[in-house]
Amino acid sequence: MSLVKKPVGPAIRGDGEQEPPRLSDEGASAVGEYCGKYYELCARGNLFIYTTAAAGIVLTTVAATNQFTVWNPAGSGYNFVPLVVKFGWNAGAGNVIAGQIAYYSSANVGSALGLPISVFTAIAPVPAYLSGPCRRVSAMRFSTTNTLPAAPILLRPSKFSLWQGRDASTLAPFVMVENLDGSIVITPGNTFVIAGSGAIIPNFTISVIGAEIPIPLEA
Amino acid sequence: MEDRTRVEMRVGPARLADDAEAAPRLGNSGEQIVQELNGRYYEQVIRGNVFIYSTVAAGIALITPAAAGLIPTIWNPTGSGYNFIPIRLVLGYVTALHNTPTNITLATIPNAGNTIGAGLPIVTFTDVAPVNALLGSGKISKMRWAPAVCTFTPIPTFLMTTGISQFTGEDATAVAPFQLCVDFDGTLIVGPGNTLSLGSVGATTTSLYTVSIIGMELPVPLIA
Repeated sequence: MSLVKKPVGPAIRGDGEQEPPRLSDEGASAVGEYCGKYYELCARGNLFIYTTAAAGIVLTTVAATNQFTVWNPAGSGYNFVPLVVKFGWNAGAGNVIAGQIAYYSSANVGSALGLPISVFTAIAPVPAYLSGPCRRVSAMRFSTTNTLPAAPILLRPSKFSLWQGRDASTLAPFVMVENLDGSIVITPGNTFVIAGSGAIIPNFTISVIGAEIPIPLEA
Repeated sequence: MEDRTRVEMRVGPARLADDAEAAPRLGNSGEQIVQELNGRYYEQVIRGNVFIYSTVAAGIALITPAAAGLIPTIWNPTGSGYNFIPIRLVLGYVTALHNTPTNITLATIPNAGNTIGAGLPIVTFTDVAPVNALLGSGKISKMRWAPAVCTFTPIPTFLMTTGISQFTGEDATAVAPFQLCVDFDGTLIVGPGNTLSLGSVGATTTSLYTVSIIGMELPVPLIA
């Protein structure tokens, strides 16, 4: 057995030196981040962009048809982990009804088109490493034109709710980005759906950045 | 026989003096307790790998991507040997009454090459030197940055929304100050031979923004 010991306190070291990492005065190991939080996953070809066209879609009350849907097919071998969801407002929305944007899911949706998912016009997810060496193809299916077996079940509200703000509102520009940060994992045979709740929500460009992670070997 | 070493650390609080040698601290769940030493991007900045790509302070209008260009564009030339990794996008509102309602988007041209010319993906490109975030560093950016003046053969392809939007809002409106900032957090890497442009969905926008993109330039990793 070997009890690891590290030096305590500030250090100034040159490139190429071999030294142990240091501790704080409270015994914490001092660490420094290399790049952004998701860089390693992105560089490994595990991140994809699932996006509507720039012109966007209207988010209606959740229903069985035409939902923003990422479908993790049964047997994909991957979990889908949505990391960041971005909403961009598009002009032309004149009749906003107050409500919320929420996340939903359909369970046991299999792997093949037919039943329970009868229509699914696929849009290819884009690798988030542009021209990356992995050339990995997404294991998910993404669509905004589809027929699901039933209205998906609510997971939780997104952090965005709406009143009757509209194009002509004299309000300041705004940011609609939610970091899910690994808080939802979609296993094979399930969907991740974004829709309105109890209202008709205006037209948004919607982009999700998600990770596709091989299913871990758990006991 | 396999040479194995069992590594042990010490559970619980510690009060240590500088220059001592001590065991690293563990939590009661067996986790190693760590403390970030500097800001998240300090290591890259101090190595001279982070650059600031800005428009003029007077700002520009963000418009729909088109062959006519005129949109802020970072171009990672083919053969640069570096990836461009955006860290943060910051928009500073400058002025304008009666904005066009729309959202701000990212667009890209793949296979953009490394040469400017008629009939090539990049037809014109008025470079402005990015500023190294290690002020005083002599390290030069491997990217090319056109904050406003550029033209293309293909129209840059929509990549995703930034999540930043505007209503008709008027700058005379009495609202609280607001933030227009998006962190990328390593979720996008622009390999050599690609561009990254900032545009909008709306046909025109009348509002002017000072645009700053902060990004890293790292050698392309050896990944299978």
